[in-house]
Amino acid sequence: MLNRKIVENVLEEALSRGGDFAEIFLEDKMTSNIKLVQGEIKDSLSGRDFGVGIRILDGTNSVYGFTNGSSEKELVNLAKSLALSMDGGSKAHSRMLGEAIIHDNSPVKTQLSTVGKGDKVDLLKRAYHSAKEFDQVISQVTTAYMEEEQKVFIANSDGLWTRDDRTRVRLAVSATAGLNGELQQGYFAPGAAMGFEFFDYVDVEKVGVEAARIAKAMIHAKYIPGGKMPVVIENGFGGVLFHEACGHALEASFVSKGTSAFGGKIGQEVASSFVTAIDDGTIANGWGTTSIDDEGTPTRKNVLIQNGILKSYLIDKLNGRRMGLESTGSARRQSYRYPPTSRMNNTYIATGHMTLNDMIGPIEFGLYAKKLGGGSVNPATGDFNFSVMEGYLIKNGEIADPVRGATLVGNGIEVLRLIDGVGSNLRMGQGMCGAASGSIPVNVGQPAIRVSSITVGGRRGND
Amino acid sequence: MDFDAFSSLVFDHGKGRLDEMELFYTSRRALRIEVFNQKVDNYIVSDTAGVALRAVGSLGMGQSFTEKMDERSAELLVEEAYQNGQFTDADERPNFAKANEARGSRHNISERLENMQTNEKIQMMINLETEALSLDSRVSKIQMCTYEDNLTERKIRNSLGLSLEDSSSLGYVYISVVAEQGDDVSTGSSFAVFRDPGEIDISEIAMEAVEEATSLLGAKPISSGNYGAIIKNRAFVDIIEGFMPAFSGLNVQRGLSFLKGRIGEVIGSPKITIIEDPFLQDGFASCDFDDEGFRTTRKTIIHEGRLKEFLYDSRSSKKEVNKTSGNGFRDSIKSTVGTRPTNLLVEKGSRELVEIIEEMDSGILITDLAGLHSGLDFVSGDFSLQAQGFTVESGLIGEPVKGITISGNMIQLLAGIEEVADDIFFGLPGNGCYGSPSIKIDSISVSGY
Repeated sequence: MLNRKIVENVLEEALSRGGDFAEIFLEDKMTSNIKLVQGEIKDSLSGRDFGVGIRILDGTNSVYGFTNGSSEKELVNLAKSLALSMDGGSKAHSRMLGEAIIHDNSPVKTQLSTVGKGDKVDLLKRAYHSAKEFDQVISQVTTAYMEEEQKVFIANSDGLWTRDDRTRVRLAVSATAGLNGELQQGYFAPGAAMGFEFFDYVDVEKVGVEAARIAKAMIHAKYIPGGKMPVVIENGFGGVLFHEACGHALEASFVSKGTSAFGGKIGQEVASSFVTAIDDGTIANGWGTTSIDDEGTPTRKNVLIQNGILKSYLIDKLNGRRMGLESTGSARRQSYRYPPTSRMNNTYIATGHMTLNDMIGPIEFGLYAKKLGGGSVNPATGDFNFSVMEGYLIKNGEIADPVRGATLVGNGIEVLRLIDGVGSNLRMGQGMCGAASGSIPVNVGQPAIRVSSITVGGRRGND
Repeated sequence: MDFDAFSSLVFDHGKGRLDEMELFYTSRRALRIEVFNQKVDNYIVSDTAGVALRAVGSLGMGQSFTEKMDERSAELLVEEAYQNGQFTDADERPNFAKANEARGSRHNISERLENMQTNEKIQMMINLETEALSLDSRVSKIQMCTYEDNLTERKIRNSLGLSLEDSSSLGYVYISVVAEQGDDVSTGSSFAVFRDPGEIDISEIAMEAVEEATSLLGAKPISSGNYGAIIKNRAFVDIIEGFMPAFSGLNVQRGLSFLKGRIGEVIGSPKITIIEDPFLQDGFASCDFDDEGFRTTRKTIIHEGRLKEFLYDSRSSKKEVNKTSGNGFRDSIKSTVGTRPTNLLVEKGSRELVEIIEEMDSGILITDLAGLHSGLDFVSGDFSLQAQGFTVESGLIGEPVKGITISGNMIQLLAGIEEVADDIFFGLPGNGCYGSPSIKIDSISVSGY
């Protein structure tokens, strides 16, 4: 993508006025999105992202610049303007660049660009029909196909020269149910770091049915009466609980600045002994998997919490310097438009031994959250919230009426201590995670878990 | 290659294959400075540009984009748009703006911002961080202390001869602080958006963030139930922005809005009026044309509780009102044209917030909301949001509150508005710029302990 002489000149220029580390990140990405509304293709959009980011580190300070240019002149000029913000200390040198061999965690069989758009449109129509025809209460269906082929090249003054090709594909179905002037939605969107062979593993019709099933269940649901209660959260995307309640606060970007509720707690008990939590960037073809992170460090499996004891944070190079720790291969960024920082890849709570019945049986009154929506957290306080897409009341140890409009709010540190049951049915769900370095694909996952008490936002006096 | 040369290349390549073409160009030059512990911790400069093509061929509309402007990319742009048009619904073809439909072009460039030296910007942020830390001993850390300014340019050319451009510069300063007392931790934030750096009042920004963080120390949930509530301007503006997609003509047509079929109906209290004003003096989203090159227009969306009109881009307007309302905007070159407002304002009332608080016997004052991207559903109108604020007893602000949610439906919320204060507040401009005063509602459902 860039020749050796240009890269060496740019890194040399970047370090000409001080700094001890310089890095080039080049990205060339093709994306294609097709959207089908009520059976017709409304939008088909594709194109190319292209840009270069240059970063200089000086101890624990960072300077970053990015441009769409790729000529030697443009890149040297960018490096020069970044170097101007250095204090003019002694000139550092770049080491000889050597190519790194990487292990490909997400092999691709059928390149997405070799498949005609017609085949992709067919998938959307199949998913549409299965959702629309699921029940007459389904009033609206939108299906979307998304693919990207991102090529990244990373070189740095420590001698790194590496590249990675990342292919991702996703099918999203959003079904709306309408009844008596009310609307309720269901959503399901599986994805993977895979080629078109993804659709050999995913049953397109079932994706449509799943979204429609949720919408139908919720249009017949009443609003939940809010309050504190025990909650059982089903597997798969339910893992967003751990992602929000704890994962973000374990990111070194917060820990290194002392603004994480989990700072300084390595080796301490931070969760109930039922909880073992892992972030693994190497899961074969996982939605959040990459072979190397966005600083060129190979990704790995990081055990964050083991039987309740905090074991590790998620660390990138810059924050690693601030903390005196090595990178955990967790530096990520949406694109060349962001300097990388510590983020999650595929984060999940490990398998336990309980069955769903074990967990629900003892509950007199509570909530069974079968599907969760998105959420957010304030990492400094640990206060989080997320919405329940599909919920049911638990009455006298059994799953009862469907309920809508529920939100879960709580505090990360508190909720981890209140997990008093972990099931054996581990599954992953796919999401997009937004934070300082942009929006990135992540897997969240867990088996079904039980939280003994959590505030459920709902409506009093309305039902 | 510059945009002039690139656009001629694309039009040449497309001739014969595509009937009509429209090119949309944006560029952005930006500087971001993050200060931590009295030093520059992150310093980011950027200079980027990109082009999007919308093309109408024998079938539907095809769309493509590129961030690289060279010969090969011009071919790619045309080829991708052509292929993308092969499957698209022919009814979804927009009308492109004719040359004479265009109007003026503004260049909201601030010379004082352009001339401000980087060192001055850094010093200002160090001062802000220092001041926030010194105001109250309970302030333990600064979570974020960020400066950003940018200069954006927009150019539209189409095969009907339209050629438009404008540009705008602005900056903002943001701080988020952490306060601690014993085991209790809370955060507060504040920001200022500006064209003229001379207008920034560092002390005020520091004080607001510190006051928010410290006043919430010791906050606890309250019991679940229905409460009379005052929603502060900066919280209510988030609700208004979150529900704006329900006012999009495109979403309404697609059956994705609870407002479908309700034009002309009373959907809110007579106290509520919402307008869109693209020509607002000093408005951060003021502009004369939308991203399709059509004139923007001033409009009343809700007038004294009655729903008056939706926002349209070219293609959604074809099916209903047959005239775009000049609300066709893109999030970026990589997204399709959707609808959004420019400057959107909830009209202010005549009463001061303190008066409204003084008259409240018992209830809550909501100062901040979270979870807006997941807890607010513009399709059904339902919301259930994490909230914080204070209790109000006998006209006085009482205990700090957190760990609760407020829930309801947008229609119920609009109908329940009893008072509108005179304290208009604008959120950070992103896709449009939203402003609102504080409001009082008769009742809201709260879940706590």
